[in-house]
Amino acid sequence: MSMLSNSLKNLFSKPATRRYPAVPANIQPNCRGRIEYDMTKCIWCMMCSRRCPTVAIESDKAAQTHKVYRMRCIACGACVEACPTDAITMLEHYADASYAPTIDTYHQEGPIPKPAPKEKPPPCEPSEAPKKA
Amino acid sequence: MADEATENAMKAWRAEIEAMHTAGARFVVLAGLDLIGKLEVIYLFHHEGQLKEVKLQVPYDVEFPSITDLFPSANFVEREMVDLLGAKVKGAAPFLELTEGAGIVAPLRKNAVNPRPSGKPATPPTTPPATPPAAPKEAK
Amino acid sequence: MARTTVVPIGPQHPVLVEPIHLRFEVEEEVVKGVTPVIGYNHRGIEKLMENDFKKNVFISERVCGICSHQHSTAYSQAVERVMGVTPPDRALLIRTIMFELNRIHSHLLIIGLEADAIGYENMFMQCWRDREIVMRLVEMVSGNRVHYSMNQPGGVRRDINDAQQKEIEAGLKQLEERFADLEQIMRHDQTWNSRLKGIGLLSKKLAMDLGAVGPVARASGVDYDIRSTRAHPYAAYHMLKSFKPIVHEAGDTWTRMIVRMEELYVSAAIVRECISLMKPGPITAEVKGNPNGQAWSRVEASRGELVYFVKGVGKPVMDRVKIRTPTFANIPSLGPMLMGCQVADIPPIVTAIDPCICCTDR
Repeated sequence: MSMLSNSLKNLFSKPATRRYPAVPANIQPNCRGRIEYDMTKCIWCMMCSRRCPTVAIESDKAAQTHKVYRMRCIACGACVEACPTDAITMLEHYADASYAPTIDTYHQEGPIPKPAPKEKPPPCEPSEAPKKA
Repeated sequence: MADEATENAMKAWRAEIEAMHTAGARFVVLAGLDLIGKLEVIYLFHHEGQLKEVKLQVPYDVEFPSITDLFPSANFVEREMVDLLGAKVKGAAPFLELTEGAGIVAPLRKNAVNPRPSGKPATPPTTPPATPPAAPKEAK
Repeated sequence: MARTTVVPIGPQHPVLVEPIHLRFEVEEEVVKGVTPVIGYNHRGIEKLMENDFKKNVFISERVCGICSHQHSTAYSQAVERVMGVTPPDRALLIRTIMFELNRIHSHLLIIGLEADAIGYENMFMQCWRDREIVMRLVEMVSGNRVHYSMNQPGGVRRDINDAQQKEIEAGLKQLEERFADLEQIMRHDQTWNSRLKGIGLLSKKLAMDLGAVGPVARASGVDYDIRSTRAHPYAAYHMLKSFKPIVHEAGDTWTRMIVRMEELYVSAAIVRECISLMKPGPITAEVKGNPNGQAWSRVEASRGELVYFVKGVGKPVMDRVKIRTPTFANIPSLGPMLMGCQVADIPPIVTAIDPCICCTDR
């Protein structure tokens, strides 16, 4: 097909663009978005703030708060993988527009919970080396 | 000011580079490292499917020759080394023609002076409500 | 008597995607000399990478948006070589699948941009519409359209399950129909051929001397593709039978785009073969301790040979990371290509080397 026939075909079919945000975005499942804390599960190991590559999480154990700098978060998921109690989840929600850089603070009420004994997953074994030279 | 050990090292390095050229190797890239007090330059060549390295260690202010007479493709990467590591390469002009005191000199060195005193990122202003957000709407 | 005018193109110019300054000396519409000036996109990435070696993967991804997975593969491979870690087979196959999907989207992007550089907006929009098929596939697997964040030293972070593999194969079938259409246009369309044939010539000797890499070199007859070197296999290329590098002899702008178009078919075949080779297993190997030593790692990015040098001294913080991107090696070749051409030919010639100035300046 030449470019001319492509253009004629496109002229009589529906447009390729979606009028987002009037129409919802075409997001695939498992899309990366914002992170959310479930503060009932946090045991203050501080792994999330240590693993964050962009210093987007500021944890204060004495005050029992996590501050998430939304503008710095790159939705990499390192904190989600690092958390031993699954207190952080990543939603499929794109970042909202705002007028100023948002900082969300998550506060934990009550005393720090004791970590429940979690069964360790079996260690990964590397498969055998490639056979063909 | 090069002392005798450095002069001998440079002669040996130059002989190795010329051997690479006669063998018909292809110059890939060079990497400059800052060992505090001197620079180490590792030249990488590709010859018959194997990667070979040629190393050179010079003190900071010793001038060493460019290899663009044998390998013209080394031009840009040597000039970048002059800019970023402050190496003195004879025959490689710097890309950035900086005026005195205009920017960081040799930024890739370990003790490069950062003109911005605090290395911490600037803190963004906080928004007034400090409560966690409500559950987000379904995107579908 | 001819007078020389200096025409500066860039750093801000409607035809350039990224800021590069090209100072042309022009005599009556014919280019007589060119000086490239780079450094407008310098972000200090090599200094920034003196950081925790696991966090560096995210930085290496963000060197470039178009070839981001290829950068993070090269970095992860270099760290794995330093630490002596072998990723499992499934991880290598997943890495290769994402690598080739990255190449497909990058080549469709540059074919579209080349059409835009000659003013052929129609073809530009059609190529980018076809690119959306690939973007949807990678979003389904990795969660992002750009910056897939799939790599980590030791393996990959997300798996491709059976349902996703079927989706990828359906997407590839759609893509191959579009590639066939694109081939028809690129070989026979009058506008495309008349603008691009015969300009921007680069001989084989100059390509080798000036260190050109990637499709720019392969269009001038230099048979150099890292995916086919058996001495340093990377990712899963040693397991594949269907790979053949594309080399042509003519050395002009039209041929460079044809090389990229033929590589699209090769990439789709590689993805299919990798999916057929996948077996159940772990997707990452454990990485313990800190890197101590240095290693080189080379991959064949969409634009050419990408080289990473990594040095660790036994601490979690990397001592030195050096990146040599393919466009950095291709820019000196612009000199002979642009000599003697008309001023109106400058945009297609510059765009045909696939300039990624973010990569060049890091």
